[in-house]
Amino acid sequence: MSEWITLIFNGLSLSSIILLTSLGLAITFGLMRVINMAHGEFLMIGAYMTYVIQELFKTYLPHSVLGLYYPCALVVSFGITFLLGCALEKAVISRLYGREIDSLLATWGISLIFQQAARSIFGTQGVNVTAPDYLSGGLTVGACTFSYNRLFIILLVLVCLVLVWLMMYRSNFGKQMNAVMQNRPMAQCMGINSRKIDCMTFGLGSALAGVAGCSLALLGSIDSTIGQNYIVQCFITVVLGGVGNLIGSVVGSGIVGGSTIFVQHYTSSMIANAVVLLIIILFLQKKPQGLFALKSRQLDE
Amino acid sequence: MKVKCIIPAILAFAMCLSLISCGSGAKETTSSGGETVTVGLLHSLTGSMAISEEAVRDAEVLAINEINAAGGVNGAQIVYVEEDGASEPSTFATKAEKLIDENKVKTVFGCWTSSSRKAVKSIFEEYGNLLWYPVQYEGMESSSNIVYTGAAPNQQIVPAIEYLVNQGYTKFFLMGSDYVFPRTANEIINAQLADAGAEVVGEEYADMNQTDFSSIIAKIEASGCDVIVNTLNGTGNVSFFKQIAEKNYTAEDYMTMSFSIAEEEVTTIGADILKGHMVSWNYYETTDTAANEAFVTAYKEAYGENRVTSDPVEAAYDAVYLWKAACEVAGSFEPEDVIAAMESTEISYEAPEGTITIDGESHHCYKKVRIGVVNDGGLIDEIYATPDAVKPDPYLTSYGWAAEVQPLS
Amino acid sequence: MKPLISNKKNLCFVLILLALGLSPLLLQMGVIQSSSFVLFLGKCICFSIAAIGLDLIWGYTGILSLGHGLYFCLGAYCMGMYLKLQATGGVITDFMKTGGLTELPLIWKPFNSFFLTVILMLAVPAVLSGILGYLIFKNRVKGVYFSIISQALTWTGYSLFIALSPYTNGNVGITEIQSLFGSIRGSANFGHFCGVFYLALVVLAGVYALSVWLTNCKFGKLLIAIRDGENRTYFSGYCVSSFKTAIYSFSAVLAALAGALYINFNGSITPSQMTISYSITMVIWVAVGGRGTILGAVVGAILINLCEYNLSSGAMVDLWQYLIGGIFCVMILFFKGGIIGLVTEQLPATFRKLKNTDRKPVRVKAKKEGVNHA
Repeated sequence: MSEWITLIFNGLSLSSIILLTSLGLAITFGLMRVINMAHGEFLMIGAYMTYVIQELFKTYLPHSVLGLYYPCALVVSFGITFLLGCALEKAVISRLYGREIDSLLATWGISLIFQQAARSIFGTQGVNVTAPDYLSGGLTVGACTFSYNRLFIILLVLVCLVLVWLMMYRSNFGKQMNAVMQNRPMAQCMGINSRKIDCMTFGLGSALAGVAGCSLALLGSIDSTIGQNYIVQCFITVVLGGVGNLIGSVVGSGIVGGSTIFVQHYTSSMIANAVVLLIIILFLQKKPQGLFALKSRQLDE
Repeated sequence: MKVKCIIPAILAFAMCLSLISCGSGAKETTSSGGETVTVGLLHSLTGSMAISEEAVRDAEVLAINEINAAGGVNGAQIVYVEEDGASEPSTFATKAEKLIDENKVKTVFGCWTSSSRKAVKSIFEEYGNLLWYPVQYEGMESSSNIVYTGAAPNQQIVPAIEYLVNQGYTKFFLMGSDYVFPRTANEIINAQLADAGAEVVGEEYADMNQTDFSSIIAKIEASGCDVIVNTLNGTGNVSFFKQIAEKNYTAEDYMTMSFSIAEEEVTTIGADILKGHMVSWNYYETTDTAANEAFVTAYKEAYGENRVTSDPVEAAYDAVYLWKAACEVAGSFEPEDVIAAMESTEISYEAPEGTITIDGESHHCYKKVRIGVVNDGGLIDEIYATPDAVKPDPYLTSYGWAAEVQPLS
Repeated sequence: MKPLISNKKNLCFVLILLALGLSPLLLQMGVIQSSSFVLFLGKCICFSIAAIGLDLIWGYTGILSLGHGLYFCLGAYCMGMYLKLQATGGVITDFMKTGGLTELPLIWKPFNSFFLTVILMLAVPAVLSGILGYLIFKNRVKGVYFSIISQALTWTGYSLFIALSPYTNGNVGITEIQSLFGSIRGSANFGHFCGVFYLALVVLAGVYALSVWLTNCKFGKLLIAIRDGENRTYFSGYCVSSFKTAIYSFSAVLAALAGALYINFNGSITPSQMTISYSITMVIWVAVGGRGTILGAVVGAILINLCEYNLSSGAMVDLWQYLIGGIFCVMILFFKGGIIGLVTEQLPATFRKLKNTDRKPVRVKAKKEGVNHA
């Protein structure tokens, strides 16, 4: 029994991590149709920001408030990656609208630059982030232990989902954003500043990656290659779910995370990797537009 | 409109300049006056292995600078040419060839992963040049053109397992990254444990870049093991230990014996998580010799107080000094003379870990084995050491149980 | 044959071919000092073959594959296993024994024969890409979706090759092998080296000629039609998916051919050539050289690799990473046609503009006067 509970919790936890890392991509790729290969590097920046904030707290503030570094890092990561995302949009992405494949390649170049910048600034060796007291360890119920950190990530992803949903479907900005993404010329005619909306949307997608990076910092190594470990998985998740809607990404990440844990339980992790990817590739043959494709009569999606 | 034209034009111009500079980019400057000898350094400075290899490269540079300051080798100053292997075996092969043939280096210090070493091995053999490989590895190999200054399996893995068995551990869980070192190491351990009458209750391999270890940890829980033999490499270690700690497990619950965690990895994982866990190496920063004190001081002075020394770092540092000693015995820098000198006389060096001697037959080194435990401060305390330096035995020919793990003749 | 030579791009290719072909001779005469550099040129020839394949599907057909490393590796592993078995005399290799096998597994048995090796080396990627392409294109997966699926494919291949280490030797791959003609290193083996080098060169020339012919005939026009208006091509009555599958298969075969030649120069093959980043590197060659021209692929592959060879050493390493990232970005942003596009279109256009600027004010004045008169 406890084995199954652990299995389910692990699946849920991995799904939540995948969802958190791909939520930003669901916005930049799903809505804006920009293939941001530097998405993984925004994760990396978020993780490094956590480290920087932790070091700042250690150096300048009394030990008693050290635990506060983590919420602080979440906010700072969000802010920094938002600004970087906006800057990237202005400098590069804005020239590439409508050229999806070119945006993929250009952002690959950007990701190389970001990675090298991380190496130049922080050195090639990884850095260490210590989880604050309230997130270290786990909650033991019977024979199962649920780590606080993973519970926190599940909570964080729920909060992010709700906020993004509210913003996309209940706010004025969200309405403008949807208008621009669905029919740019018409939105412009209505007086919406589409360039500003583009910039903000891309910044938001990047900022979500920054927040995700912040939570990854507690789970694993922080080094210049961290983003590369996640990027393909993120894209697969978004494509599987169907671009352009949040529920697709939620279900997609559930399938990827759950099946990975399930297959890993019976085989090794490399085999699980291959099996899950193959299943997804075959599935996409059946439904090329993903699980929750937007219905459209347009010929060229 | 005009600005739009100018930006691309400037960029194009810059690009042309950089492309033109390609031809002249790599010409290295040799210091004028006096005799010099060129050596190569070949490590990954970019890519996923840069995490580990940069420190090793730093140690080699430190040793070269020290030797130069003390008058050089055979009266010649050492000049080094550096190449980036980019964590990719094929690039290592290309760059090794470039160093040997184009830069005419007399020897190369380099590589970390077994795959990079195997990719360059035949190149060093065909050119008759000499590679100094500074990392512990899985054994089952010896080449007349490679000197292995790290541990062979009988200088790290075998004594560590022996120690664990003697301590009364009976149920072993073998976990490693999915590549050649863990696979070979675990095969050796399986044979050894079968001989010792202990049980292997599980064997798992993780992806090199795996970030989620929850299912492996679940398998460990289910196996009921009392010790985990850990051969994970690189970033996997950080994820594994962080994730086993968040389940409230400490060294009391699951003891681990790690073969790829040295002082540097302890700093990135965090001493609070790792304290009490065991590792097996030939050298620790805390090793108590006069030579080590000088080495640690010099290393920290050169690269910063917060840098730590570790076994591979020390082995890389030794490699340069061993090469110097071999050149002095040979009275020449030519690789064939140096190799001949190594094979005919015992080359030894007073290393930070104690005296190490090259075994002329196998091109490995005699090294002391030390089992250590991670302490609160992030350093490693020695808890057991072999009385003498152990003779290297890469093919494990002196162990009866190892017959089936040895390669084809 | 005449129009092939009169075309400026083809002339340019012939010049590159001549330069490459002369390099071993120059080495022999002592003009080029280092033999490793010429050997590296040999690797560049292989890269250009792979780049041509990629250009055919990306530049001409508009399908961006980010997984051609898979086919490159398949070809290389086939050839590598043949060469390895030649060295061991057809019996089981060390890594298979370490992996617990007692005899040569069935899948590697055919690689004892050279004839079968060559057939399988081309047939395996062709069949695999044919099946995948048929499924993918029939379901009208296109654009970035295809790119992402191709990434997943090469990742799957990578995972499998590592997981099945008793058969493939995991991430070490097949090492310590000599070329088809024996050892190619050192001056004593110069003859062997020339053999491999000119073999690769002849293959490159053949592949180039075939590709130019292919793109100039009706088939090639159709590929461009698919790139520029896939639906219109459908409506014109063509079965787009089978054309796409055909060209995808052909480019996979070219990648495999490149891999098989490459291993002769490199002496080892590892799954790291199958990673996504390596596959994207191949795309970089084409993008920088100039997509949509066969010559561009060749120029890009050679130029980028030569730069990397010379620049990624010592103190330049950091700079090189910034540079390659920057070059790539700038190329995509401003010079869509790559180097070839820059030379043939953008620069002439700029010159024309510069010439015209002298007369421009006059014309504006005249116009103004005209307005006044009216």
